[in-house]
Amino acid sequence: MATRPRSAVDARTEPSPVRWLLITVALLFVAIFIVLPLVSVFTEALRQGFGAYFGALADADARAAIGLTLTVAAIAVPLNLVFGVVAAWAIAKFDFRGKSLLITFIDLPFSVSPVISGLIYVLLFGLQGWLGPFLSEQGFKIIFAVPGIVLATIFVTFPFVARELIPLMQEQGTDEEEAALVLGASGWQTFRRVTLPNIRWGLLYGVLLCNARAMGEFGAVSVVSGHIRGLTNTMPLHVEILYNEYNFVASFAVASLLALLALVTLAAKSGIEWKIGRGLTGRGH
Amino acid sequence: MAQSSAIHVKGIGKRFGSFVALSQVDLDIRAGELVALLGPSGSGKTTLLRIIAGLEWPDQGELLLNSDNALRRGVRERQIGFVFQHYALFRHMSVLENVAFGLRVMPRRRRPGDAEIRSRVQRLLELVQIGHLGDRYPSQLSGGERQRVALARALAIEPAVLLLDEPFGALDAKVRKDLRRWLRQLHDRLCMTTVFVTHDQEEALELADRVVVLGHGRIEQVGTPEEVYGAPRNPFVFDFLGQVNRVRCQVRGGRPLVPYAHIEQMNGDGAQDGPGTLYVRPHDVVLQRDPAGPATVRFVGVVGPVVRLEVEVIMGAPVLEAEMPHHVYAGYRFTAGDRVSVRFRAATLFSDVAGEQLLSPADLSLTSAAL
Repeated sequence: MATRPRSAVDARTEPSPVRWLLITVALLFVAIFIVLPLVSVFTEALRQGFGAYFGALADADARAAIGLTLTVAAIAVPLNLVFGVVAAWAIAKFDFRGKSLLITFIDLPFSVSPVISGLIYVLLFGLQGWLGPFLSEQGFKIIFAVPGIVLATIFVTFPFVARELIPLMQEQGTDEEEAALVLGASGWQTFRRVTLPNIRWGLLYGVLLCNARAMGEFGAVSVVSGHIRGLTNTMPLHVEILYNEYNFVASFAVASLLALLALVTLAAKSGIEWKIGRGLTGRGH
Repeated sequence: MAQSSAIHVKGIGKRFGSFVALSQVDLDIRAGELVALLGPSGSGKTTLLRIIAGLEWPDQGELLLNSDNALRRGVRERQIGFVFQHYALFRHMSVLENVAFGLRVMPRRRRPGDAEIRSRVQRLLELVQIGHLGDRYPSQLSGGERQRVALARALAIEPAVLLLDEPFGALDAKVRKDLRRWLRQLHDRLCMTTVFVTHDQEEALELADRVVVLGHGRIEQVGTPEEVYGAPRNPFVFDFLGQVNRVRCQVRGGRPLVPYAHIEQMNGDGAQDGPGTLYVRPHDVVLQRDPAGPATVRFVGVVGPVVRLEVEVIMGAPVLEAEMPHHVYAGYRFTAGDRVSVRFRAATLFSDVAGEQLLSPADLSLTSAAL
């Protein structure tokens, strides 16, 4: 029967009224700020039935926005994947001058408002900017065009992969890499057979977050895009335009896609965390 | 001759910033020898091992492996078997794949076929007595098993020399002793030139053919376990190897002035007059019951393989540690408070070198290093 010493249990847990209060507050908070908006996105989107919902998504401008968002993510995420791995590798496995400066720079996009990030590109590549006149002479258009959107997205999302990998790689140290080298492996073999498998879950996690942000980014993209329908409108921008035109059903329909993306990301993220957690507990030493 | 040695180290020096890790190290290791690099932390022993492996590069000096200039070759090309302190097993690979790694990354023309790799790996696992663990992952193994996997992995590339960094450091005492004995047997069977790093003197003295004592980046003494333990060349080696009483004294005409103890055998090559230190092992301190003796028994410890006694010399209050076998103790039955006379069966005298830091400022003190 209940032979567990009560005092030991009491010392570890709060009295039950406090416990219930804390749990209620937390649940209430989540309900008001997360569940309610999420539900309202889907109810608004489906207010006039599935016909109107799919109609809104099949609209040419909506399809163009979806296509552009996918394109931008397809360019920005792989680039940031490579950059993130390279930066994390350099920071975690080597000592060099300016290392802390590099870490600070990697964090910069997190600390700068996305609108400012967008403005930087306008100042650099815009027609009145430093490089703008030269580039437009060569026939390159960056601001108010797809390249600008891609650049702004890369800037905003580049910390995700690196930030995820640096602590992981630092914790793992360089022992296994050294062991591989002593056993005769080349640098590339060491990376492919030892380093990469060790970071694969962290890497996937970082890519997932990077992708979610790349598709959902509003501020920076808004500044450089120019909001040209069917050409430079990404999904978040399209949601805003439709909303401002009082086209609520279409607006929420596109928004629901972004919300779905968020839910899928969340599920995948939990899956990976579960996987990593299992790996950690099984690792010992 | 340098040509006949498996590892030839000459004038090797290495700095990390302002810290001198190694300076002017010369060492020759013969083929088939089992050698211990012994020293306290910061003595440069691991750095020397990593330089031999090619994981670290010396600032000056030369290194020959089997008469071949190793400094022209990178770590990949040296064919070194290296066992890391924490084993550094590939955590995402099975035991089998860990051991096979060195074979799988060989250039295609030298790489054995898959079946050949499998059978070689299995033979190695049998050799280190873990043939049944091939499908496990490192996280599912005990410390001793991981150690064996690390060893099998290092042996898989048929290395010219085997280097082990603190091979028993991460194991508990019982496993450590078993593995030590087992490693010695394995070495005798394979006859492979083996160098291991340790800070544990007992491990070095028990396992190695020769012991290299390092301190402050220099080699203090090289010799068989009997040589370094029985005839330490300087105070550092004395302090580091085994327990020792250190008796500060004045030296006159090459003899120490120790009024309270009779010295039977004096070692050490002629200390200069002036301040000196006499080193006496506890088992060389002989006590005799004597009501008029100059010392008093303070403590008697009968637990363990020998009886340990602490003796306080009345004049000047220094404390000596003595050890005697149980059957000798049975003839005396000393208890705390007994007056005794003191005899040193053997003692070694060194002049105090100006500026040399002694561990304790006391006139007479006891040190027990690394026990």
